Amino acid sequence: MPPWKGALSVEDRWAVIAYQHTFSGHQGPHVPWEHPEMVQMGHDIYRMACVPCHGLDGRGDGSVGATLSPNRAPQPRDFTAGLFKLRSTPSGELPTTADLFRTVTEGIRSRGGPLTFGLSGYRIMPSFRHMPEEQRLEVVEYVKSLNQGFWTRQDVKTVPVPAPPPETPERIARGRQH
Amino acid sequence: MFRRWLVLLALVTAGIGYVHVESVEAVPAFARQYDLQCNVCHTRPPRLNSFGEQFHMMGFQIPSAARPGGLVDSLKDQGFAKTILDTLAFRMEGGLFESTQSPGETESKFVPPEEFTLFVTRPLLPDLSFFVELEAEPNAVVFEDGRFRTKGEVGLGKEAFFMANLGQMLGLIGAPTMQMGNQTMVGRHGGFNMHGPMLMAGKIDPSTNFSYPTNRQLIAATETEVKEGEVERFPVVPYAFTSKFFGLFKDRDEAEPQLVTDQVMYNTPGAPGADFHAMLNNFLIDHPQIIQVGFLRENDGWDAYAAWRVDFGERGQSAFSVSALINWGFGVDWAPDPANHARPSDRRVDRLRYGLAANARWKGLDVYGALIRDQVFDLPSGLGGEFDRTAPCVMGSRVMGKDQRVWRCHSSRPTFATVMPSPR
Repeated sequence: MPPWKGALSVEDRWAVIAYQHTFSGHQGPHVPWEHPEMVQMGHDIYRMACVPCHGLDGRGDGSVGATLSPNRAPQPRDFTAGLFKLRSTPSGELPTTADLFRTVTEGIRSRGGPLTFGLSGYRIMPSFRHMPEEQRLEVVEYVKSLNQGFWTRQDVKTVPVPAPPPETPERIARGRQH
Repeated sequence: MFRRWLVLLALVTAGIGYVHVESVEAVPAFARQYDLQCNVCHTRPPRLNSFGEQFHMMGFQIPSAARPGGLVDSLKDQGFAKTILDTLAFRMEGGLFESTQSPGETESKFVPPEEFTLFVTRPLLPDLSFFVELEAEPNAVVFEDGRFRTKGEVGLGKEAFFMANLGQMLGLIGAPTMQMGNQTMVGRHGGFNMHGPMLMAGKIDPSTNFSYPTNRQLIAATETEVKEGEVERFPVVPYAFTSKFFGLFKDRDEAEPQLVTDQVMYNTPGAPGADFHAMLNNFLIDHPQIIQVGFLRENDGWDAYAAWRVDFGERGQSAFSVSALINWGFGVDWAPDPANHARPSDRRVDRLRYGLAANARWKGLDVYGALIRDQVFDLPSGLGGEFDRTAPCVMGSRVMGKDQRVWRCHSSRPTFATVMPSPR
């Protein structure tokens, strides 16, 4: 099978995979077992970049997490438990692939403590935006492989977030009053 | 009104920082370059956590996420001023008052800041970065005209080096390579792979990848004190890493003594040299390993070393590493003259150093220790006495919110030495 990297963009390659799913009758989201080579590559990236916080087994029990203040920073996720803070899905649901991709890309900001004067608002989880997009997707596939829920879910519903209301002088005055 | 309070608060905070004895030894340039808080890389600065060790290993870059265009991309994205400012960091080290108590003397005195350091550091390319310390010391201890004295000194600090990933070069000679996070790895996914070898060259601290790095101590910064040309007080240092022997000399012409508390060999705080290190995965055992070889210039000689480190853990909020070291110094010191111990002879001595170090971290606890043995060879016959050349040292710290407690212990006391049969 020829390699399509370079011939097709990352988006086009995902589009081909989505089309291919229709042959098998699989209508749900991408599942890790369909891309074992991506999971393997994601595992290698995970070992280099993610283990110190998220732990060798993805349980959020890396040695670094213990020194992050629980009052000021979200703790590294236990990927096996399936509880994620940053998601666009309803409570109790697993995040979408796009949610995970966004977290890996943007990192996580934190309030910081008194000793982080001047650095408050800086990230507690790094941004991996300079990691090539396909490698970020590979890491996401590996993370999804750690929880059975990603393997078995058939349907993904996101919470619709309406556009923010416009900032008008009346609205601001009412907010100040309250 | 709010801004005035903010400025006042900043001034008060700076004043408190000035009076406080201990120094903060994270490099805020990295925090600004990567938009990260200090405790992403550090437990208690200068101690690194596992992510910080990876960050250093990758050439001061986020593991698997090196900026593809390096410095040029930074200049385009952030502009010239921000890029330059984010490359710099400044540290002032010292206190306001110092109190010393000894059986013979009790002394309290005003002590102005004793060290000003400007850090200039950033990646230039995904596979190339640099780190430079420029240092000013108003009262540096120097040896001139046969005497110790203090004088102001400005120049390179402990470390000044570039770090380059040579993985691509191995690819050019046929080794399988792959790209991970815009950096070259040697090997294949799922099998053996290696990050590096990294070349660190310039004025370097090679123990930075060791389980017990020399420059990452939690020790009060006490300096050598001199009076009337002689050493009055030795600094507090981990004695496992020091010269240990009285009576040796650094050079023959000036007859500068090798102080027993000088940190030497592989454990130098910074010396000219070149270091090659690589991180191995899936090599013989299923634990990450770092292998390291290199050489350093030391006094009138040079030394060669090899070190090996294995990392365990990253489960249950714990991590553990163990390292082994072997280090041979060729002609690194001058032996004393048997007829006049205050002068060097015309014979240079070799030094063999070997030992183990380990570091264990569990939640806020960070304990590290080393057992190092030194042997000195090729001393003139006729020198007598016994000396203790094995020096264990264990240090630990515990971060408990704002209260950070440090324990330390000293090695057995070194005494005047030496009789060692020459192997040659």
